[in-house]
Amino acid sequence: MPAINPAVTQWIGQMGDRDQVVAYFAYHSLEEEVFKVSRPGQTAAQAALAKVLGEALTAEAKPGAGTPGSASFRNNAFLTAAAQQMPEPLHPVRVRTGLARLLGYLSNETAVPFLARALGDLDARETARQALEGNPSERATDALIAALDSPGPDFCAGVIHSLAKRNRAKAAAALRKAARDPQAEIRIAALQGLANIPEPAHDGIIAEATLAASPNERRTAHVARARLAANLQSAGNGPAAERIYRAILAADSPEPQKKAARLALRL
Amino acid sequence: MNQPQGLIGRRSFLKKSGGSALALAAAPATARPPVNDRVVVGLIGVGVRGRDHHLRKLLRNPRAQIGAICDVDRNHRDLAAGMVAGQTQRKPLVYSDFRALLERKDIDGVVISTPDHWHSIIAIQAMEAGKDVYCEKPLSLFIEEGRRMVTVARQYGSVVEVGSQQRSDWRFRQAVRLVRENRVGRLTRITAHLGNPGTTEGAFIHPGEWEPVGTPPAELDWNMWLGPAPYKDYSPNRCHFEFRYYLDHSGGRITDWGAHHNDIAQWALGMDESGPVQIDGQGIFNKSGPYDYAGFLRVRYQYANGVELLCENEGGNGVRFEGADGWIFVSRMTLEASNPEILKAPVAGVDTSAYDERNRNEEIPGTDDHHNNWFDCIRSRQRCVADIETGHRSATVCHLGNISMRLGRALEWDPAKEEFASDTTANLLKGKPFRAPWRL
Repeated sequence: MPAINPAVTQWIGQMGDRDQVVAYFAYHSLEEEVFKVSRPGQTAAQAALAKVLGEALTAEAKPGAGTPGSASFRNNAFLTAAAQQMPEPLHPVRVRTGLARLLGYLSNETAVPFLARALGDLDARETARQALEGNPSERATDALIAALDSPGPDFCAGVIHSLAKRNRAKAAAALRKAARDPQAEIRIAALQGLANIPEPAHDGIIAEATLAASPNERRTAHVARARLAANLQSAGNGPAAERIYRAILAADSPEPQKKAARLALRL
Repeated sequence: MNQPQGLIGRRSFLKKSGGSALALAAAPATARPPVNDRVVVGLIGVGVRGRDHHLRKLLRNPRAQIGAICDVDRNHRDLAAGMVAGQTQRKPLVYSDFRALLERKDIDGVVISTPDHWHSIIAIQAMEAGKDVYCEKPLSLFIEEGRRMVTVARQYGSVVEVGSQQRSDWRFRQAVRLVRENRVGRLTRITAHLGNPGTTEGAFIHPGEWEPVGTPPAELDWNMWLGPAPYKDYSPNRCHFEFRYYLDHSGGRITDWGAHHNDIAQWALGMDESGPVQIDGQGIFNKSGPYDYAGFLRVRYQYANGVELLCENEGGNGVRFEGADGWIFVSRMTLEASNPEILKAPVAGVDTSAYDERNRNEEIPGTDDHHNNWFDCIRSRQRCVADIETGHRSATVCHLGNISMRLGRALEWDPAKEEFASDTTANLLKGKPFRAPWRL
């Protein structure tokens, strides 16, 4: 295992320092270290650093030890109650979000299990989700799909957007399921996500949503439909794109989407 | 020689615009075109740039009608609305959420002067709502955003002007044309000096002052100000003008001034749809914060044709073109050459006198022409002088410099694929996930 810069552990602790200068210095020193190690070919060093950062991200405090400064984001009763069900983290939230972000830059297989676990950390899960978004690992896809069962429509919408960037069958299947979710925010995110995956069958789901009761959902669906057509065209499926564009023109679509269809069809 | 894209002579410019630019130059400010001929504009982001620059200019432009104002800061909204009411005796509709403004069917185009981290989302949603767009530079915060914006613009046939108004300043237009006509001989090197304008000094911005984090003021919707950017507790010196010194919101000096001067370099090189192939950036990042951009920067870009672009925040402010037979230096105040004859020789198709006359009294030369170019193109549906693809490519040059400086290594770039060769982390830095629920 390659040697890790001995200052890394010290910097991890200092990221939570109350002195903003100390905390800033520590985070940026770690970022510099991550970027240094991220040079192509240094796979073993990247894995070693990811392990150190990941372990700190998911480290738990000893029972009864208390957690310094970790309650700063817990300003509502729901989150407070939910947080009480979770193991007490060793590091305060600022450290955990910083570590999750740095693991996103390393984006290797070693980082995935730590980030997947952090998806259950209410304070750090959004940063962990973002870090997993750019990670090409299959296990990262699985972790994101599993996170769709988490509470909070905004967070789930973010997970959907992350999945929509992964052109994989199981990500698409998860998005199709999310398009039937009872919560409008999740359905809307799923429509946007489905449009990014060039699969002709997605048009049926999106077209159905153009008739939804909610104006916001209808508007999103119309835009998503045009976006799906464009993505199909870019992916080389011209006939499917043309079918959608013609359907847009035939339907009660908003004028901007009809204009896009006319431009694409050169009408 | 091919004419540089968008770089047209004044006569052909007038011909293309149906003489409207000439009419504008001669017409008193009160002679307004018929209402139906005016472009109804919504301003999104009316801080210093949006209000004191765009709004003030557009209120005096007879081709514009201010239809709506939007800002997440109530003080900004009130000041801007007051300016409109004072000038037109009509109160504009004001919004705190740009999405509500975009629902307005009567708005033809929007001017986006928000912090950089908002540009792509607002521009894309505006185009999807059928609006034309004037977007402040740098067009994007990340390379992937820019490409997405171009794709949407082309899909919707949107007219987009990027706020690189030096493309409408006669000095820069003249300099670019001279370089492209080989008046300095074979071009070997371009230096984009990002130092202080009007001096020979560098611009080494101090690293800022730490302020205690606190509760946002009542007039500011802090969550909406942050939008897709990573969550940070409110601090006064993070928002409004100072956003440009934080990499979560902007790119520092290289995307602020670099978006202007690297844009001119790209134009002169004929690289409006391409870019460099190698980047070697050296930056010194302040280690004590709070500003986290490169306070000192020197980036060497290599183009496939052998020309080097050096971008640095030293040596005053402007662009220097060096060739086998001499040099040209151009800034917002001057156009100089190693031999004055280089500048005196007539250049086909360019009558600079009218530009000079119109630009002379402008605080930021070229702005009125730049607005008018957008209005011309909205009518003609032609591409603007600072079209979205060129804005994306110019911003990309700046982002490439930042990525190389942050990673501390030289990089190989494929401008056709818009990918780095064999560098996973560099490719990751082309984009960034948005804070939920925002998405591109």
